Amino acid sequence: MIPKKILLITWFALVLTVPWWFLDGNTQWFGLPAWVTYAVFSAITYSCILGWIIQKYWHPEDDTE
Amino acid sequence: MIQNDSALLGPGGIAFLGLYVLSLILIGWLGKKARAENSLSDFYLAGRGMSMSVLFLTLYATQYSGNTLIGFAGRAYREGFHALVLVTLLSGAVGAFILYAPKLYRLSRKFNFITPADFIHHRFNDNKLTFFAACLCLMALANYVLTNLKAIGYIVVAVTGGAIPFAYGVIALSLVMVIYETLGGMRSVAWTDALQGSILMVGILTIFITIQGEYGGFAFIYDQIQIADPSKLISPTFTQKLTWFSTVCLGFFGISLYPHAVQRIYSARSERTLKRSIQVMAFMPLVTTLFMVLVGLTALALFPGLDRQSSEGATLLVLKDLSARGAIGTSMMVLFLSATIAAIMSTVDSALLSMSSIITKDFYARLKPNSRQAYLTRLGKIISWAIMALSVYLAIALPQTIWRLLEIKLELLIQVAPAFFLGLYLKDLFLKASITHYGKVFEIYHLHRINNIQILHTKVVNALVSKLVLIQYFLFQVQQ
Repeated sequence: MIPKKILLITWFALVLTVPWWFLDGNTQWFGLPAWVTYAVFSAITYSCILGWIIQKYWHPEDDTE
Repeated sequence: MIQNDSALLGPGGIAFLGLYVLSLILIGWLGKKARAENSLSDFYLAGRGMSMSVLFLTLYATQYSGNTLIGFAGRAYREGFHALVLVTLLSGAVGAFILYAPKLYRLSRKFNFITPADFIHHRFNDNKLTFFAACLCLMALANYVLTNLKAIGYIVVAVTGGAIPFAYGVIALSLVMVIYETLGGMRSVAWTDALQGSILMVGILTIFITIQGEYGGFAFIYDQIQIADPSKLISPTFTQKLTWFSTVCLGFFGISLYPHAVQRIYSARSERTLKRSIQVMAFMPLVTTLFMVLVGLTALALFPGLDRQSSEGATLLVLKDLSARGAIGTSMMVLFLSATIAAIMSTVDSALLSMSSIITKDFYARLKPNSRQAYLTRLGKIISWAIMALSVYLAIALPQTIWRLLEIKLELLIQVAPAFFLGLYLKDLFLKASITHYGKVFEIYHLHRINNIQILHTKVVNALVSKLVLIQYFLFQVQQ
């Protein structure tokens, strides 16, 4: 595990899940307000990033099973 | 409180639910039979031998509770799509697990940790700080038990149409929980959690699919809300975005440090088991929280105009409507209500066990280090009964909503975060720095309370500010 790198990736991705750059509810993506679609897709992406980080960077010391 | 007097289930359904609840006592008894030794490690950590499937299901059932099924849907009803923040609230906790779980697990194996405060004591070697951290964990857990007992009361009233009053429902189900918890400790709790977690997952998936089929999902919700309350479709203001970020921070620093979740990290059979369980947990907010937010939004689309208290019953209103339309039969209703009760019970039993372990290990055993393990285990069981009795009384007496109680809990837990996160990775972090942290926390906490600052959750600000204090102190020490 590389905590600094993981900290950076997880926090950067987490901050991006907030729909910072949407100012109104008029723009639509996929039939929903753009910020709603963004919030849903960013949550899905964040979960995928976490799954990938665990797979790539977490190397168990007692791989006994 | 649920206003509608019609029962969600008939006598047959209620009898089935009753049998399911009583079967948990049987599982608790089996857990007792499987006991390897009469020690704290066996009672509170299931002998540190949890397999991947049990560990994942117990983590899942513990993390997703009455708050998710009742409180989150209620919040989605009140706030509309802004409640999508709840999905990343839960994902943030998994992000934090990745940071601290591997190292904490290895340390727990090496130094035989039982409670979260064991790490604090190992790291800072100070009784006052350990007691303080244990107190914060206890307060947060007490709050956790309270929110879920309240939720269980609402469910019982709705299921029986008020035939069983709120207070009786809380008392009866609390009794079942405390019986199986004291029979087999963590082993019983984890096994019942495995059953409850499975029911919870199937129940939520079923209700989601049914809603999609019956109403039309997001498209239906959007159209209806646009007619009933278009203000809930507007993008968050900058202040609301800050609150969104603050809520996510609560998940990262608060939910990840649930004492019972930390104890499940200690309980893993191996690090590989732990890794796999947490990896699957990363995706659970998408199939649990997101689906429950959708249920709350569906309630908003169907029944606009409910007041704050009635909105806490949003999930049950949707269920009643589905039942009235003939979209779900009695069996599906029983399944979902079982899932709801399972979610609540699995959370309460875990929190109860954790509270009992903290009082026994962090307070009593530290003051009387020569006590026998068998005596401590017996004492822990007595403490469980006492805590449950007090919690039941408070759940019946206190008026706060579920979401507000949840916020208070996370604001408390987040105070332990700096000692954990920085303590694990900063080698030269000193005790004095941690004490400085707690001093600052209370000073700033009261300042914020006085000024009534609402944008960020007060204690999120505290934790972040006090982290800066810690880092400054750390840098000062390095310079010295």
